[in-house]
Order: sequence, then structure tokens, then C-alpha cells
Amino acid sequence: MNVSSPEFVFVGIFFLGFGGPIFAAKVWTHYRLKKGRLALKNRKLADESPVTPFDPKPEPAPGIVLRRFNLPQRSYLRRQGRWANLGYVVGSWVLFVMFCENLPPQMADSSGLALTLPQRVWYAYLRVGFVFDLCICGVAAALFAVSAIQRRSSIDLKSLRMRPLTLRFLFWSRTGLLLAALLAAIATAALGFFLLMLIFYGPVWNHVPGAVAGQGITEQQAHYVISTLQTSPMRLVLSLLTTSTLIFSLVAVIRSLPWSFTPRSQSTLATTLLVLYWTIGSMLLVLFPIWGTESLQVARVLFLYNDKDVGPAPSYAYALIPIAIAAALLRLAQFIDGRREAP
Amino acid sequence: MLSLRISTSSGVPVYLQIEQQIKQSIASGLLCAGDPLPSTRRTAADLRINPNTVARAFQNLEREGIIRTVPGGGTYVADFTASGPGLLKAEKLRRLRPLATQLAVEAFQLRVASEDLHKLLDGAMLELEKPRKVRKSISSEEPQEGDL
Amino acid sequence: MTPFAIQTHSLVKTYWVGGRKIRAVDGLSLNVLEGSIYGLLGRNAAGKTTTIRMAMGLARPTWGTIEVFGLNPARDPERVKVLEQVGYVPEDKVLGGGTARSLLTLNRAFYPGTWSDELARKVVDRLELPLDATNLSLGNKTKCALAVAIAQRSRLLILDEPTTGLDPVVLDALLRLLVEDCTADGRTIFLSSHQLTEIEQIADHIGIMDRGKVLVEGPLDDIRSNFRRLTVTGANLPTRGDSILNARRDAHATQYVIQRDPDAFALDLTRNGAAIVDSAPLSLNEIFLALCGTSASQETAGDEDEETNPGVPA
Repeated sequence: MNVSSPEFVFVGIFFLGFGGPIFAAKVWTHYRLKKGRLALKNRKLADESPVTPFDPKPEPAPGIVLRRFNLPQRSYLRRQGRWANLGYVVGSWVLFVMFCENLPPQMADSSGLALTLPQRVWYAYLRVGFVFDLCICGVAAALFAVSAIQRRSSIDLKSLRMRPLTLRFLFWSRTGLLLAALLAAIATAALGFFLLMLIFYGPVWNHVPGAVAGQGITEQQAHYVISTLQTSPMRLVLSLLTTSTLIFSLVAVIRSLPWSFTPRSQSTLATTLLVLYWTIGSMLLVLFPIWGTESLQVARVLFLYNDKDVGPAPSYAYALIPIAIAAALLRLAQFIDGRREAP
Repeated sequence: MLSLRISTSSGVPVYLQIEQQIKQSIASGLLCAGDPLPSTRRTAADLRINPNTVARAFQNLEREGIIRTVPGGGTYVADFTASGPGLLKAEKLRRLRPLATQLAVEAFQLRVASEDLHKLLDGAMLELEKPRKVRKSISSEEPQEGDL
Repeated sequence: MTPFAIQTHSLVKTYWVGGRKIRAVDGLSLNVLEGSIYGLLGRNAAGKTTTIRMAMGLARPTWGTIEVFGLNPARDPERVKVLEQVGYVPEDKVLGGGTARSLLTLNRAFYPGTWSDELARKVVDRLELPLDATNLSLGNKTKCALAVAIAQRSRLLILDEPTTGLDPVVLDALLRLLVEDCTADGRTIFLSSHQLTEIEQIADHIGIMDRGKVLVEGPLDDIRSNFRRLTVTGANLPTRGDSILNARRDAHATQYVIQRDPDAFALDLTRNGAAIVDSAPLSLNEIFLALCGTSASQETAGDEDEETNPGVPA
């Protein structure tokens, strides 16, 4: 495997994208720990009493949005907001790195078509890369949903149920914030990706060739290539968002159902693995027309981008369908969650 | 100087124990007329019992005229010379009657003879007189006879 | 406007555990007056914690009702009104991770109307709670949970086994604190425990629970005066009766534990020629043992009596 092979590039970006931040985080925590220990030692030397009496800072004044809520609600929202914020930062970086796996020229389509490099990159992305990205976003959505609905035995859940907040508020604030974080992460990552694509290759999606030539390429295949290249980024991003929302809501419902087998099977790891398996599996089923044209129809209705679909792209109005389904599923999840008894 | 002790296993209701002990302190001279009593809240906290119980005891005592509360706050032992003659003998006997009945019932159950019961009563009243005599002798600084 | 802080009517709660149905609470009728200090006593699986969780809305009744200040704690929006007025120390004393300081800071935001920082400081001081320790021992977890609940200054304080892991000095400090700061303005304390000595001291109302039912409930003084142990000699003494909780007979005398109107019973016996050798009150511990032992083995006790003296009139 030489330096410019696709696999090497893929792995290279992977490690740079994730290894870098992890290494930086480790260095930072190590430094912080050292500083903390030093400070403690100094304090002990100075024989200061280390315990200060309980004197909390007053709550910061609420902003315009938060003013609509009372103090308990604001406190809860702030906490969930921090968590969602973390999810956004981590999520957008991870997704961005994964999206950018498709950028380097090594990833371009190498099937011998007479297209320019940028066009080949775009074509490869649309044929394979985007499907991969869609699956990654689906997995991210599933993970966010698993985090949104706390498992039944969680301490956090129990202690929140003891506070004067309505169950409806508890559910929607947490789920809503995490969903918003997910969608924002996807949008940010996609924006970054398309920006980079624009910088490196120019507006590829506007330069569609009139005809495609190549070794042994049929009329039909040429038609297919052209129509594929016409896909607009807007549609892609919208498809990402709606599909992720749909998967998020599905996983939320599953997670909130009262599984009554052993507590161990309710552990986060087990649920996460189950969910991942299920998510990837179902996505692959829909994306690869195992059922022939039926799955294509499903994909169209759900506004799911499908590279096998050679017809005209579904109108933007179809985007409302997965959104509506997701809303209904979330409402169901809220209902089930409300009926749950705290541990 | 008031020191109360509540016994949870004596079978006597707590508020009654408080009342009895305060009355005993007054009778034995530990508390004199005009002495302040700690507040309901303070007494309850010291005894680790519900303030309502203490309040009930204090209310009963006040109704009997043994203690009085000042509107500004504070509870004091009432002045006997003021309340004493105010109560008719009949009223005093009426108050003591249920106690006498209870004593009689207990004695009957335990098959205690009447004269033994009278001896018991005399002995108890004698016990009560002793501290008073001691206090009077100390305050007047005279040698005391018939001590103990 | 109900005078009861907590009230249940024939409350039932069933659980499915491993395929079997368990009645944790079985027709419970509890009445906790506002302004009282109510002690709920019972053995380990009596259903105390289940009842408390239903009062907090953490579990839903299978049958019957439970009301806190006349409101239903299982259904929003009444549930929120209930939770605003109730401070709670759960049985497992776990409120979340972190130091005591962070937990206190977190929780104070939820009760803006009633929380008192000063009271929090007082509790931390009196109970000797380490504010910044991370790995809390059981006793410290209890102290932390107590601090969070007491500083709330709530109208009703529900404490589920609040004495776990506390040494006698801290325990005494806790009792004093409860009396000093948690009873003003007609506030109610509801505690469940099997530390009978502490309950006996501080509570003015108690309820004794066994197998999901209330056996005895009422002002503690009344209950104490209703129970009496009588040692009686004489012939043809009864062993069964409405006010007899149990009777033990040996060669010389019969020992009764009376649960109702002991004076009337004693009078009745003496009128019929029996002699009462001893008459003593029962401590709460003895009452508890007599009641909770009785309900489990009533048949065997009856059989024993039949064996020793088959011809005794009831």
C-alpha cells in the first residue's frame, strides 16, 4: 500500500482527525491534574483550612430565551444545554472528519470515465461517499437518541423525577436540545465539507458535462452519470437532516419502551450496540434495493437520497413526510416515557 | 432551674410527664413564682420532641393557672398567692378527684390495703416538705432541726 | 382544604417479580395530619418505601388513591405542585454524583421559593458534612441527602430511613435539627424507620405497618396507653378476646398483652376474682414486636393455646 492509495489516505485522515484532539485532551488534563495537585499541596503547606462554607454564587441573569421559564426549568435547561453543547462540538467534529474522508483526490472515481478530477470526486462522492455519510449520520442520530432517553435505572433520571418539573418538560427539553444539537452538528459538518470542496475543486455541482465518454460506457450509463452529477448539495443536506431526525425518533421510541429482561441488558453499551446494528442494517436495506423497485419508492417517500434512483429527484415537499413521521414518533416516545416509573 | 427528662417507656403520655415534672419542680421549690421558663421551641429542641407536645403541656398548665405567658413573649411561673385563694377548695378537690380515682383503681388492682395507701400518700407529702424546709433554713441562716 | 398532609385510601401496589405477583402495599389506609411528626414503622419488606415512592409520584398505585395535600402526586400538573412542597430523602440516599457542595448548589435552583442557604450551612455544620469530599461513605451520603432536603424548608419532609450510617452524636444532632427547624409554621415531618428509639422520642403520631397493611395508627401517647402487659393469677382466665393481643400461660400465672382498654379489661378480671400481680406499660419496641410477630404467627399461637388448655372459654 503506497502513500497515495485511497485506503492509506482514509486511515490517515481518520487518525489525524481523531488522534489529534484526543492527544491534545490528554495533555491538557494531565497539565490540569498537575496544577491541581500542586495547588492542594501549597494549601496544605500554608495550613489553610481547605473547607469554605457553603456560599453559592447567585444564578446569572436569564437571557431573552430563558426568561420565559421559571427558575427550576432554567436550571434544568442550562444543564441539558451544556450536555447538548458538548454533543454538538464532538458530533460536528467527528462528522466533519468523516465527511472529509471523501475529499482527497485519491477518493475520486477511477472507473475510467472521461471526467475532470473535480467531477470524478463529486461523482465518487455521490455514488459511494454520500451513502457512507448518510449511514454515519444515522449512527450519530441513534447515539444521540440513546443519550436523550436515559435508561430506567439511571440516577439522573430518578433525581430529576423528584424535582418540580413536569414530565412533558423534562422529556421535550432534553430530547429537543439533543435533536437540535444533532442537526446543528450535521449542518455544520456538511457546511464545512462543502466549503472545503468549493475551495479545493470549485463548484463541482454546477459543472455538469453535456456528454460523457469512456471505455465501454453505454448510453444508459452515461445518462445515469449525468443525472447523478446534477444532484444539488441542498438536497443532500436536507436528506441528511430529515433521515437523521427520523432515525433519532425511531431509536427514541425503542429506547423508551419498557424492556423487561434483565437489568444488564438495559446497560447503555448493550442498547447502543443493538441500536447501531439495527440502524445500519435497516439503512442498508433501504439504500440497496433488495426488494427491487419497492425500496426505491420507500426511499423517495422518505426523502432518502438513493444513488440507484435514476428518475427525477423527488420534490422538496417530500421532505415533510419524514419530519411528520418523526414528530409522531417523538410524541409516542414522550407518552411512553411519561408512563415509566422511576427506579 | 428546670431540667426535664422524658421517659418513653413509662407508659405516661409525654405532655403529661412534662406537666407533672414542672408541677413537681414548683412544688419542691426548684422553680419559684416569677421564674422564667424556656420557650416551647427551646424546650422541644432540648428534649428532641415535637413542639406541639410541649405546647399542649404548657397550654394545660396555663389553663390550670400554674404558669402564665406574657403577651410580649416569654413564659413564667405564676404567682401562687395570686392564683391560690382564687381557686375555691371545691375546685381544687375537683381537680384532684381523677387522680384519686386512678390511684384507687391501681391500688384495687394490686390489692393494696387502704391504710397502706394512706401511709404512701403521707410519705409522699412529707418528702415534698423537706426541700422547702431546707431552703427556708438556708435563706434565714438558722440551725435546722428535724432535718431528714 | 384537608387537614392531612398525606392520606391514602385502600392503597394497593402490586409488582411482577420473576413471574410472580407481589403485593407490596395491600389495602393501606394512612392518615398523616399536617403539623405532626409521623413515624411509619415496619419491618423490611412491609411496604414503607413503596408507599413513600407513591407519595412522591415515583410509582403509580395499582388501586386506591394517595393524596398529598389533597393533590394527586402521580399526574401532572398536580404532581409539580406536590413536588414543590415536599422535601425527600430517598432510601438509597443517592442523589447523583459529585461533591456535597455541587449537589446543594444544583438542588437549590429547583426550590427558589423556599430554599434557605443559611439553613443549609447550619445543617452542614451540625451534621458534620464534608462539603468537598468525592467518595462519600454511607453516613456521609445520608448527611448529604438530609442537608439537601432540610435546606428546602418544605411544607412536608419525607425521610425514608434517615438514620442509616449515622453515629449517635450525629443522630442526636439530627433529631434536634428536625425539631428546631422543620416543625415551624405547621410543617409536617414524615419519617419511616425501624430505629424505634429515635422514632419513639421525636414522633407524636405513628403508624405500624406490616405486609402492606396498617396495623395500628394514631397519636403515640394514645397507642402507648392502649397497650399494657398484665400478669394475672387466677382460675379460668380467658385466652382470647377482643382486647387481648396475645396471652401466654404457664403453671402459675397468665401474661397478657392487651391492645385496647386495658383498665376496663383489668377491672373485668378483678371483678371475676382474678388477681393482677403486675401491670406494666410496653415500650414501642415491645408493641412493635408483639404486633408484627403476631400477624405472622397468629395461627400457631392459637394452636399452642388450644394444646395447653383446650377447654378455656373464649
